[in-house]
Amino acid sequence: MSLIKTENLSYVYSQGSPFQVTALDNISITIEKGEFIGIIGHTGSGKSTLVQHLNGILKPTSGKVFFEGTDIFKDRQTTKNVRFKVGLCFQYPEYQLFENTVYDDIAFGPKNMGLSKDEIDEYVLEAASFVGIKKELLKKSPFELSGGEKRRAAIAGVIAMKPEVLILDEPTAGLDPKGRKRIERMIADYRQATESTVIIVSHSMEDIARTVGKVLVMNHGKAEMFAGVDEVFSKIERLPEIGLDVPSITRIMLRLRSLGYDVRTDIYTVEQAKDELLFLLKERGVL
Amino acid sequence: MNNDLLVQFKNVSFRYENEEGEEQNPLAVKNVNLDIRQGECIAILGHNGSGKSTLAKLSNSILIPTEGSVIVDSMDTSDEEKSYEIRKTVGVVFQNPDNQIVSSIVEEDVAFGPENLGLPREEIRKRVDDSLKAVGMYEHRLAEPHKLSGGQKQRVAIAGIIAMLPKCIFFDEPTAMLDPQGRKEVMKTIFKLNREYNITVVYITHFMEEAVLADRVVVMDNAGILMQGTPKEVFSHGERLVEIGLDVPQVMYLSKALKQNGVNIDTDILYEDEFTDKFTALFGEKNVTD
Repeated sequence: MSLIKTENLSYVYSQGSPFQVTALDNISITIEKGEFIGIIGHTGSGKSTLVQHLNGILKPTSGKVFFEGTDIFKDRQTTKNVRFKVGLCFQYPEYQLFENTVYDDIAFGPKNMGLSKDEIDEYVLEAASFVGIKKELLKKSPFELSGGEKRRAAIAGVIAMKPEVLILDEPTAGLDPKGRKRIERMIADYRQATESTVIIVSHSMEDIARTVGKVLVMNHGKAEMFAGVDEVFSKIERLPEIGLDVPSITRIMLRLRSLGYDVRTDIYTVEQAKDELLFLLKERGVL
Repeated sequence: MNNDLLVQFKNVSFRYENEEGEEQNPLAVKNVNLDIRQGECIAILGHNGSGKSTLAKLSNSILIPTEGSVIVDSMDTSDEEKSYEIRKTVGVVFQNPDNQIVSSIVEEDVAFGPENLGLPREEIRKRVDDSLKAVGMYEHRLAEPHKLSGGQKQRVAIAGIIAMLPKCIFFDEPTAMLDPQGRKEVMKTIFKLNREYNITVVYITHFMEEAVLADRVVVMDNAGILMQGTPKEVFSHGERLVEIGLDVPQVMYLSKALKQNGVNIDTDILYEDEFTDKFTALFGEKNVTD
């Protein structure tokens, strides 16, 4: 049985008003347990609207969302339960820190789950350790943390609910290269340790190509592609057409191809490009 | 010759004040010397918390140095009487466009600055139109800002600064909150202002591919300037940059990987077209020696 499934999911903002916008248009996708999925798309393509359906924050205008085979909008209790099972961390989550201490902020979710004090403590400490927030920081006000620490504390608040699915909307936006790498590594470690399903929303293929297994490409509310990273890269020419960035390495390969060199263009890492170019040089007798 | 000097940081240090009795904050900017000349296009690189944004705020008297001085067009930013003139000379554009837009119609937002200068109506109209054209938002002059994309909003914020006819604009991570399309729009606008309007631009960024496009790159670390020079000079210290939490462009990693495998290619390559030119030349040389 699939973990998450959407069936002809559509969502219309401000329906019936002159500002009516179809944000999601007939999306049918299936996500299996343990998968690592990247969702990419231009601004306004429906990425964030889609993930807000997966944990029941938004209710479809038409179509259905299933979690472990159950319609998540069946009744209020089911919707409420799904909120804890599918943890969603919004864009710029650090703007949503509001408690007096970092500890209380991370504990907000577990408290709402009705756990005992000891359990809450255990969940909070575990989540803090996943994101690399040291114990002494837990007593501080969230506003005393650095930008990167705030971001990680906010993510810990979602992890602390021990969700089966962790969804992160643009988790590295606005961070410096070191901060970006740190979050990427943290997500990979978290996945490995918990074997949970992880979904990352991003603007950029470059950010997610190296890490995720499968990519959902959104375009104007539609699911344009939903396939393995390699398969998506085999249709890489399509990405700029739908307002997405092509990784730098891929752009180089595309440029060489357009200059008449017979190189693969479904390549996105330095390692892959090096191998491909060395092969070409040897084949032509240059090396 | 110093007469083209526009903004000068002289031994500048800055400490954010704390409430009385609390532990003193560390210096956010420490002994910085930086000369910015008329017409330059400068990128400032540095990890989060390295002092970049503080530098931007020091440039037009939003902040006044704790020690040292900042001289803008021969005016000292600590001279309160000059602060009006200084802010007309150096404008600052911030990261989040939503925090910089005050009106409900694009052209009114851009007019906000010139109106406060008490200019005649026709002059305001002209400045607003010219500024919106410069950033490519003239067609949207009657739009409501909240309905624009992030990149468009940021360009409106830039138009609001241009309408003051500044000689220099500091951009504090102007693309950090934008998608790839918005980032391209804003960077294109910045370069256009520099090249076609001769406005001195200084932009702070986390993106290496944006930094390599400047004439000069200044790297901040630990509240001070670690190094500066042309993109080629700065990125030749790639390992040091990675050490302090920055990075080098992907194309540089690729050239290095090829070099290590015996390919005769430069390792200071920063641009994709530069790489493809040099890579394809390898085949050309082969043909010649054949």
